[in-house]
Amino acid sequence: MNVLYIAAQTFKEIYQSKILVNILFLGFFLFLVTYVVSEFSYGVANKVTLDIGLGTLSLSGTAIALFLGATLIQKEIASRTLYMVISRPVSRTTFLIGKMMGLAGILLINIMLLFSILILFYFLLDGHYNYLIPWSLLYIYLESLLVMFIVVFFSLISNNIIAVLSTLTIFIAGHGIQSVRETSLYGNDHMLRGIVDFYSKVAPDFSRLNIKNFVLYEKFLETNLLFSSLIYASFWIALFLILSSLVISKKEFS
Amino acid sequence: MLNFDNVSKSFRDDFWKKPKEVVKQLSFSVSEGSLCGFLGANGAGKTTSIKATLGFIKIDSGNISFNPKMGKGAEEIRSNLGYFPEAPYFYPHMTGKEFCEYLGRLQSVSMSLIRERMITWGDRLSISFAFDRKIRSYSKGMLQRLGFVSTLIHNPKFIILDEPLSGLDPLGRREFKDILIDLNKSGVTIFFSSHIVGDVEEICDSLVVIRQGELFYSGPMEALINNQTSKNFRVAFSSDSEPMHIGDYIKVYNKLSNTYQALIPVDKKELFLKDLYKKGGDLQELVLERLSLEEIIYKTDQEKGL
Repeated sequence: MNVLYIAAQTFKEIYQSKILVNILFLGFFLFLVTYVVSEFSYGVANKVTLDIGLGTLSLSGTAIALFLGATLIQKEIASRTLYMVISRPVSRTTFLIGKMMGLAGILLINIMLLFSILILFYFLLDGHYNYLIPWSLLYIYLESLLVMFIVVFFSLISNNIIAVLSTLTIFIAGHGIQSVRETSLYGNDHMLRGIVDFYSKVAPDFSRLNIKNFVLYEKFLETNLLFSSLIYASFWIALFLILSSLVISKKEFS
Repeated sequence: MLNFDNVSKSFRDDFWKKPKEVVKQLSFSVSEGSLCGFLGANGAGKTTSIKATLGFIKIDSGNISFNPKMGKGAEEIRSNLGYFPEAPYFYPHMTGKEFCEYLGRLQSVSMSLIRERMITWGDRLSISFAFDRKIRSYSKGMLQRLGFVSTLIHNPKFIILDEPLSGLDPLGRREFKDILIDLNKSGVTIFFSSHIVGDVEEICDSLVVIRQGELFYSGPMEALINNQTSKNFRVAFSSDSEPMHIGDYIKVYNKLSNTYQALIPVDKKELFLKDLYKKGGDLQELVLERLSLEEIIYKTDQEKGL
């Protein structure tokens, strides 16, 4: 139960920091974009709205995960509020999971609210339902969760700035893997191919969570492919959780 | 209740620097039911020892153990332990009530008990009025009081306090000390760290004193004071006749009031009194000279050139 109390407290703390105000700004941005594209993009306004909307959702989730994740545990260590919790019958791993669950809740609310605004505009512009839209929502959420787990891990072994920069590097590189694979250089250059293939084995390939093009162009994606990406993201999340748990359980709070 | 057995802990300021030993082969024990003071100057290693006790930091060598009554595993032990840090740390966005409820729930205390204890301790510590306010609006003294309520919310068997009286006004200090005494009388073991000797002397029955990470003294307070006391009686008396054969001990003679002040060795007390009454003298004061704990610590520091 303690994990739920910590999660609830974390959720409340972040919620009270007015982080969700960003939804108002992004919602307004979506409204503005929808209006502008409906004026200029005859016939495909709903697709452009969906494109920008999913991009905004992904960006917003990643930014919140990145910046709040970097300070999630660090702030507790720096302000020493951690002492008040871990001096109680609460294991360090419970504390870590509780904090992450709280932030995961904020990410979920953020994404769901923005998605509601997006889907409203999309249907208002005569968009129609595609079975990949809920999947893309799930993937965007998983992407932000993975970013959160990575940045928390780095924040435990370094400082906030290094944690943000390292995670951002992994995030950008992870999204670039597929693009690199599509270049002719990848096919011709053995060394580059070796590096890219090695990297995709030791770091998360974020491009596997990006199905925006399939949604926009209504391409078909097999269910087993969708589930394999889900398992892939879950594996990396679990791995970073285990690593963070090992680090925090050995860490000295002097 | 708590046993330190040859505990050592060192810290490294920098990766390349040699580790500095902050706690050196420290051994002491805090017996069940005691109100034990933990004394030492700033930087002596008190907070490091407390952090090691609570598992915030790992010790290099030695062993820290608790009485089996506290529980078996670390979590069970912590459920019977109350910790009050040097400066209690709070979540400023919470109200005092939310903070106590949060920490109480983490200790698996039911909501009704939490509320009951909040009223009891909140009233006793004069902080109930501010429970509904955000913690960010609290003064330092109010934070100390709230921190103490949260320490007591789960009715711990053993309380560790790290400089609990800092930041309190004289009235607050008195209230805290009275509560510590009452808690101890009700069976709670208290380990109370301070660098203010007077506070410890006033309320504690036993004492652990450390200097530069090493044990200086561990045991009953009275034993330390008695060992260091000079075994003299301070006497004041008036007498018309010449001073008795204790002339060697006379320190001051006041001609006007015809009074003498002297330090009489304990074994000469009977002889002195007999002589005094035989010669019609009048005893005005007879007090066993006794050093305060502060004087003892200061004296031994000087002797050791610290």
